[in-house]
Amino acid sequence: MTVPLVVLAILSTVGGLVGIPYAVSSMFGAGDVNAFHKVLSPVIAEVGKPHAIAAAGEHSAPEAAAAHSAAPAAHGEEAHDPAEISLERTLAVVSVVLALIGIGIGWLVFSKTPLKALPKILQDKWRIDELYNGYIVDPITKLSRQGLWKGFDVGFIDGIVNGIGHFMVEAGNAVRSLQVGFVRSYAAIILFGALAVIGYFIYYGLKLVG
Amino acid sequence: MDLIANNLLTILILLPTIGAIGAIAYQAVTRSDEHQKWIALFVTVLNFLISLVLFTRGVPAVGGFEFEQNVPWISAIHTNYHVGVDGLSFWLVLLTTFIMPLSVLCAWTAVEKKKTAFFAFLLLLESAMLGVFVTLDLLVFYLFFEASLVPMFFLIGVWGGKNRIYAAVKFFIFTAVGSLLMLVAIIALYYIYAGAVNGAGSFDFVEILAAMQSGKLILGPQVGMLLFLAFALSFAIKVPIFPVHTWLPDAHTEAPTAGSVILAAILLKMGTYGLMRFNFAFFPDQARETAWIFITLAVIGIIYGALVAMVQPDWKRLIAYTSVAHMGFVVLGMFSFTELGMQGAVYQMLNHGVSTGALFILVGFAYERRHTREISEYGGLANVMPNYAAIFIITTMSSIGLPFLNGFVGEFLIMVGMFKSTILNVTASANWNYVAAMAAGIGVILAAVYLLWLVQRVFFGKVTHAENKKLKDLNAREIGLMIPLLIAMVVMGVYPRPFLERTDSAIKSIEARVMRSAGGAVAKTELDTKALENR
Repeated sequence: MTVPLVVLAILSTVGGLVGIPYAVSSMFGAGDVNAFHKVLSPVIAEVGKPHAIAAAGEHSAPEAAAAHSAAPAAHGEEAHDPAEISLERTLAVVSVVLALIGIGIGWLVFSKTPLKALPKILQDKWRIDELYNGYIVDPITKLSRQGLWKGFDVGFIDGIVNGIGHFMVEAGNAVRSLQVGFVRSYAAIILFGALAVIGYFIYYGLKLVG
Repeated sequence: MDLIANNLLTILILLPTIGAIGAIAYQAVTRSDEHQKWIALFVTVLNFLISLVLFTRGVPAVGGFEFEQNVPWISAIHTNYHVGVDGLSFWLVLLTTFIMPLSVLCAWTAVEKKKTAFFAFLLLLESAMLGVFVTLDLLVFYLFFEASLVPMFFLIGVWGGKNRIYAAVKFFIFTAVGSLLMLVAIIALYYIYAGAVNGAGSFDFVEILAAMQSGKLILGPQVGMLLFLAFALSFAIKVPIFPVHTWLPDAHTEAPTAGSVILAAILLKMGTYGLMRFNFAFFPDQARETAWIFITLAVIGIIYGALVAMVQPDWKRLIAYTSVAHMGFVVLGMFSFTELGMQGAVYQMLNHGVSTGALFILVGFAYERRHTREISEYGGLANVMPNYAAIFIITTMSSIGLPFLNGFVGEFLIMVGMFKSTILNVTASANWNYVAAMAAGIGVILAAVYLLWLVQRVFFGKVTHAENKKLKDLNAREIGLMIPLLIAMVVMGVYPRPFLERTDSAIKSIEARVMRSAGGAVAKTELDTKALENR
């Protein structure tokens, strides 16, 4: 493992030199030495000049040639905005200062006690996983299990489906008790029915008369 | 050779039935039910090979059919045996003949009782399903549609799990109620046609459609809507579209492995096929008017199915609920009424058949070894059954929609189609098509959640149950029957073009019928072939 690590360490130390920004290199009067920027620039089309890259290869197309002439600086020396350069330099200084502060704090804390225990919140990775589980994963699984599956699917929809079935069975049972084949109960029912009909006629007959 | 080509579809439908009769006759003669599986395998493989003859003819012209046969059946009611294949049914026929040998193989040792009847029902089911996909006569279509219920009812009810009777009855009643309404609508169409042409009625899909297109047969808005809903309800139950999906988890879970595979891979497609074939062609206005309802239900189904699948403790029921989500995608693509979306829908039907069929077969392998479907009973299987784990994870990826596997192509086309769809834009400012497409995107994420979580719980970690330590890895038959499915997943994921080319003209004609009958007011989305090639 040592050799790959050595290679990676060397690369991570010097690798950044491939892409020294103009804002930095110009401070030393070196001009634009940013090789990385130029490698990537043909890949990313600039908005409003979609054919700029194709134009470089096909000079025959007139509109492509026009696009090419409209963007003369696209592949040559780029115009550098002074305001942008000073912003870039400021940000570079800020990030270097922040990094130095971090290194300093690390030095102060760990130089004497390299195995010093850190606050638990850091060991728990700021508890982001617990936050997700507690506020996103658990509520969704709970809702799905209790609400959607057991509540809606099995409870509501199947409840309706099975309810229709039970209703049919119950209705059948209710009607079945009328059809027991017991002649005397049939006779009783006929008697009650006849009495009801006669009662109805008497009631309305009296109403007509009275 | 000509004899086969001229009667191809009839041979495909009849051969399995003859095989079923042969299996029963063999039992009657030899009093043995040990060799019926060989009969079933031979017949289904032969049927698959014969179905490859479909490739010998090109893509039919727009609105046309290949391998057509039209023979009068009951002339008193003008019903004909009229079969034909177009781009819409082409791959579904092949999917059926492709899946059947595999489902026979996966029942090879799993079925222990009444083997003759089991394999006879499988073969009868194949006849009925092929009949559904190729029949162009509404009455005969209805007969095949209903006939497919009977073998499946017995497959679930006799060879199913603990709760099989409940599941079988629920499956039967749910689907039969829906299709009875369709029968009423079919009869109504027959008389409406008779009135429109001042002559005999017709059950013929092509004739009725021609009368509608020529303006001879015009449905009033109310009649049209009633007929549309009668057809749509029947197919929606079959798909199944939320909220009429609750028969599916029970039926899939309780069915024997071969039954679950056929249910998921083929039977559900009868619903989406029916919607595209009949609802869109006969009732384009109603289809457009109700598109927002179906899109809403599809999106609910995608997310709802995924969420409910996520929390299932039962391995097979989890896969069953994923069908609700995946079929939601198909419905979404269909009702986007864009060429891309509808192409994606047909493609996703095939994908779902291959991937979910494979998942059910794989769950069946585990069940055969452990006789339990509880996810918590497994764990760490990758240590004991490495080949099984590898195949299962590839299948999972295909179901999730990993690029270069089949699921991705279908879901991608459906989402692009929905994104470009104009069907929801009632006013210029509303962009509900974006909302629907993005909601479907959430469904893809949830698919990764429930399937990867399943994989984690079943395959990774330590073996927690002592019974799992001595499980045998897949044998040659099991690996052999998975290989065609794995090949299909990769081929369909890497090179979808031949599949899409076959369906293209049929999709175009359906889309034109639905979108142009609005009188040119609806914008038409062109098939972006470049987007397909760049993919």
